[in-house]
Amino acid sequence: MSAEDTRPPHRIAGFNTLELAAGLIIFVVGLIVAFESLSYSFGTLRNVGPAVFPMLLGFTLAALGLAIVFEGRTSLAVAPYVPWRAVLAICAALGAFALLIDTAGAYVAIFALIFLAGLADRPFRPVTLLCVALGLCAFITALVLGLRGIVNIDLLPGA
Amino acid sequence: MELFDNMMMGFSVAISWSSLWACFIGVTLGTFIGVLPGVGALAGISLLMPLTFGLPATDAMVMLAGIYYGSIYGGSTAAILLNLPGSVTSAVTCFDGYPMAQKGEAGKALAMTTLASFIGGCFAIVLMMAFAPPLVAVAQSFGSPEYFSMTVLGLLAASTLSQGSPIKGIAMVVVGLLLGLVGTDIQSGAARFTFGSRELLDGISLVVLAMGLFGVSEILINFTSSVFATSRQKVDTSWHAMWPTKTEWKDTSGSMARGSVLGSIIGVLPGAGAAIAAFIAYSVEKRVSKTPERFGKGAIEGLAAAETANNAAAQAAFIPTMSLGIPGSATMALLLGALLIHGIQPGPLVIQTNPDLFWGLIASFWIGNLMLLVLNLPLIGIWVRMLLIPYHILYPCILFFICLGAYSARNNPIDIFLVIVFGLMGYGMKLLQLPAAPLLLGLVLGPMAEEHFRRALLLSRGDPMVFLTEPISAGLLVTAAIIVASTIWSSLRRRKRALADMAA
Repeated sequence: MSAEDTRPPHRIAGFNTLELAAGLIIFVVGLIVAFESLSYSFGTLRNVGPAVFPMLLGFTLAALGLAIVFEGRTSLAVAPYVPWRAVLAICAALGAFALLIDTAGAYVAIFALIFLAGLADRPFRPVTLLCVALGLCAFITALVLGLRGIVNIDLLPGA
Repeated sequence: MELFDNMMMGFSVAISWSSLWACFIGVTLGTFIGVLPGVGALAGISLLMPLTFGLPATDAMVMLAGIYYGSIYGGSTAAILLNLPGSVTSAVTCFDGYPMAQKGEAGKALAMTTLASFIGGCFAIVLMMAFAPPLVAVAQSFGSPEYFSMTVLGLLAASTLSQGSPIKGIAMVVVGLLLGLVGTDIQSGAARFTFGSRELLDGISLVVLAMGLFGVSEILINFTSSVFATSRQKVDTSWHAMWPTKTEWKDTSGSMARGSVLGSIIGVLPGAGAAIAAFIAYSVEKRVSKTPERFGKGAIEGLAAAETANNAAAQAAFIPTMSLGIPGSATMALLLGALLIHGIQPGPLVIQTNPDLFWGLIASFWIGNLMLLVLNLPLIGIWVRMLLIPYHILYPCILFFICLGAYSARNNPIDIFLVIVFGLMGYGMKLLQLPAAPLLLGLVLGPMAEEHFRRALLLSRGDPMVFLTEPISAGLLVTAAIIVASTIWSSLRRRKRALADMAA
């Protein structure tokens, strides 16, 4: 924390860039929501349609977005360091599990998940990861066989 | 002796084998999660929630509640031995717990923590037993306008009283409310914000959102900021070293009493929560103490006050959640979400329609706290060894459990992709310093808020002033307005000062 805080915050036209981004994203999301709710029915004041609540919330959100921009003008927030390697590896690991679980079964999916997730950390530890993966395979086998009918997950490809 | 009868019924439910088992699993897993550094109570509950779907509603709630207070219990172990709070709630425990460990009194600190937690927890349970029924009686006279206003007040209070920018907190509540609207509109049948996706017609699953927002993004955050130490501290777990001496009992009894009261009061308030309760109790203790200079250097009173307060607050948080259906924190929102998943509409009617669940849950708190006491004192040695698990083994396992939980809910891999989306969203929010907890509150309360809003207008024949002409509703909304006005005022003042600083 303290090491980061010494960096001067990035600013655009006097606005703290990070807070500006947060505020503008929220502002735009609010507008999109309000716009999207136009396509639903408004109903009457007595019988309020599905459009009214999201419409109100959308405008509130847009207003709050602008408030964040102004509130954050003097903020000293600095963009933190983003561990891209970890972000990519972890998303890839989860994605691989999702793609493999139905077609290739749990064992393959677990190995893909664990080894891709292992890329997030340095150094890469193949032996440790192998042990973790084998342990989890044993766990899921026990789970599926022990709770037959409650947990329905295919262990092997095409099972 | 209605209370007595109710408690008897509660115990008859909680003492059944299935509830005892659920309670035991809950508190054990909770302690485990609390001990593991880098896995918070929220992430833990989101991860373990799918486990409870197959159970009856009462057992599910008993287990989830057990995970919650168990994790607060366990969080202090990591705080004392590593100076790393296992969960935010035990941050204050580090102040005096770690110095005690350095002086070789780790065993005593851990035992004191366990005892203090037990006492704080018990105090708050008594309060809940005494105050929940009258609160429910008041709330039962509420109509839709009052409900809507109470929800507004609860959400605004929870999002502005917590740390960080109140405006960001409110914005995230609104985002949560909007996410709660995704899916089929109950009243008109219109599909909203589904953008043609069939998967979204049922709405956004609470489990999937929570796993992404708190599970995946927490791992990513740990990669950003991690310094993971593992404990090499020797802990003397002999009975003699751990049990407090007579003078220590005398020193801490006052702190524990003050901690219990403060913790319970703060725990009931929305947004404040266990971490703030611990902090306030600690600073009060420091002010009351004759020797404030000992604080931060291993004062056992500070440790006792913080631990009683955070556990009392954790239990007291159930009072508004269970009696009014208004959760004060993200964890409580998750528990309410679990109720909804089991088909029980949270709110003051729960105590009438499901008395076995309500009183059974309270009775299980006693049993759970007792289990923690019995489990933890002899098992401290094992928990200490848990701290040796390195993070590079832990995070792949957590990812696996996230996948398993998300997938097994309806055997659809789409849910895992949604977890990735929400995980990235949660991480992005963290980078932009947007709090995630209010979002979850909004998601759970969103559909209810809208329903009461529309019903109130229907019953008042389309008069929007109904929210202000009903006295209770008006009072609640005025309170909400005061909260908003005071946060705007204080943030303007802070801004002025900051501008002055910049100019200087």
